Amino acid sequence: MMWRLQRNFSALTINLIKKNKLPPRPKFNEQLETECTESFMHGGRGPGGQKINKSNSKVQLKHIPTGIVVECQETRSRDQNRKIAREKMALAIERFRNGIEVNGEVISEREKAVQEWHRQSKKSKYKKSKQKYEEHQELKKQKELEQLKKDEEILKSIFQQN
Amino acid sequence: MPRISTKTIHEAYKINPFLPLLLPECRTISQAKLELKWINQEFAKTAPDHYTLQKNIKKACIQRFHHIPLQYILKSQPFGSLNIKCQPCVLIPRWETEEWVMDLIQSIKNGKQSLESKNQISIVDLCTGSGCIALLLKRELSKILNSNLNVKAVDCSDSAIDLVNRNKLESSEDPIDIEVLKFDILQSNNIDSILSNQKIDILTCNPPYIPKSDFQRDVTKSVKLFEPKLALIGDKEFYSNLLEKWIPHINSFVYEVGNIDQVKFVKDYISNDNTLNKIWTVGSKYDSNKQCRVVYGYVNSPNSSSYDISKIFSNFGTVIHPSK
Ligand SMILES: C[S@@+](CC[C@H](N)C(=O)[O-])C[C@H]1O[C@@H](n2cnc3c(N)ncnc32)[C@H](O)[C@@H]1O
Repeated sequence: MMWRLQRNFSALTINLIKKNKLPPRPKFNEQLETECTESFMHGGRGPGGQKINKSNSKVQLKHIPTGIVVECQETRSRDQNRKIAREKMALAIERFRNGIEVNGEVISEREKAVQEWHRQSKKSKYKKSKQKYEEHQELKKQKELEQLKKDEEILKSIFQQN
Repeated sequence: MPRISTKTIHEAYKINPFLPLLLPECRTISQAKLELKWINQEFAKTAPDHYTLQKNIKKACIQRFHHIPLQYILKSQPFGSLNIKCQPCVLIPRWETEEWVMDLIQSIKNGKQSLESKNQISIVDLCTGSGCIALLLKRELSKILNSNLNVKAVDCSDSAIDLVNRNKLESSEDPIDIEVLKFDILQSNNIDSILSNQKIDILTCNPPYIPKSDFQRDVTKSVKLFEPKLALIGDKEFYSNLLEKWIPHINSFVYEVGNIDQVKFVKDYISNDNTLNKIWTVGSKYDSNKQCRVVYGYVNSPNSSSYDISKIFSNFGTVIHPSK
């Protein structure tokens, strides 16, 4: 009897995803580094340097063996964009090599687990959040109305200058 | 530059009413959206409430409409692993500079054995401005090298000196220990106060390099109106200064340039000098936008020496003297 209970219990937990037991985030390792070419796009030819002070640059990474290309210009930091591009590439390659098809989309095992985890935790949070959401919507509407008036004025001034 | 179409302005307005204000500087809606996101993120860090945040964002967008550089509005510019503080009267660090400084750090990393016989490495950064070059070199190289690393940053402008001192403390989590010196390198004949009793291993400099004749034509509005002319306008004088004053006291130099004439000027001077042309190797380096960006040089070491500065430049650029 006791034995049976335990078995049932463990069968149940298997489907519950734990946040700290997700499959690991795919890593961009040394080997990938050597298989990729990196380029930077700045928009516009021009002499550059001190003559212009554009704040960001787009990083593009190309994985030669698979032809996968990823880009990043999300942040103002080139250093940061290079890191993000590498994370994106690691994920794209993981999807390409070990992807699972879910609803017509290819995703990695980790992403599948994360989706499942969100679905599970959403159910319990749903009720609580609904009420909060409605309150928030009401507030938002009011603010939007105020904003609209101000914006109208700005727009007018732009058109006059042009 | 072409005028932005009314259609684009309308489209931008529909996405966000402030977006049209960013179009003159950003040119495209996608760039404007990115910039608005950064403005939002930066101000969200400090705004006490939603109302103040919106007010600040609006103010920033209007400033952008008047061509004020984004970095003066947000008061910073990332530079490698640092977040360099920016303020009016001091030049904003450029990505081109960041690029060659990062490459230099990587090159030094690859050739570091050849420096390690020396227990004190000395680097001087002239025309330091915000201090970005000196600070990033100090921070990254002290992780790599075992030797003591002494970095000095020199500028003649009071605003620059103030800003470097701030950036020593605020550009990264831990303070960065460099020496800051106020000095006019073109006027003063006495450079002894910068030199210690040993030679400088690496002299870096991003001097003002826009010739006066190019200034009106080539420089973008935002730079022309808001960045200091002292940091921008110059031509051969800083390269002459390198060749006449600093060369005897250094083992290598890395100077940013604005055009290929400035590279040729340095190269010709060295290859036409019967002493220098035997001791020095000169190279140039392009940036990722395919523009000539750096002239560098190093003394050729005797074969027997364990200290060999040439090693840290082996993959940095292309050698142009001696010609093969
Ligand atoms: C192009 S900015 C470079 C700033 C910084 N190193 C960078 O890369 O962003 C040139 C700097 O040289 C300084 N400068 C101009 N003339 C100088 C002189 N005669 N002696 C020392 N510094 C000078 C200016 O104050 C300015 O900060």
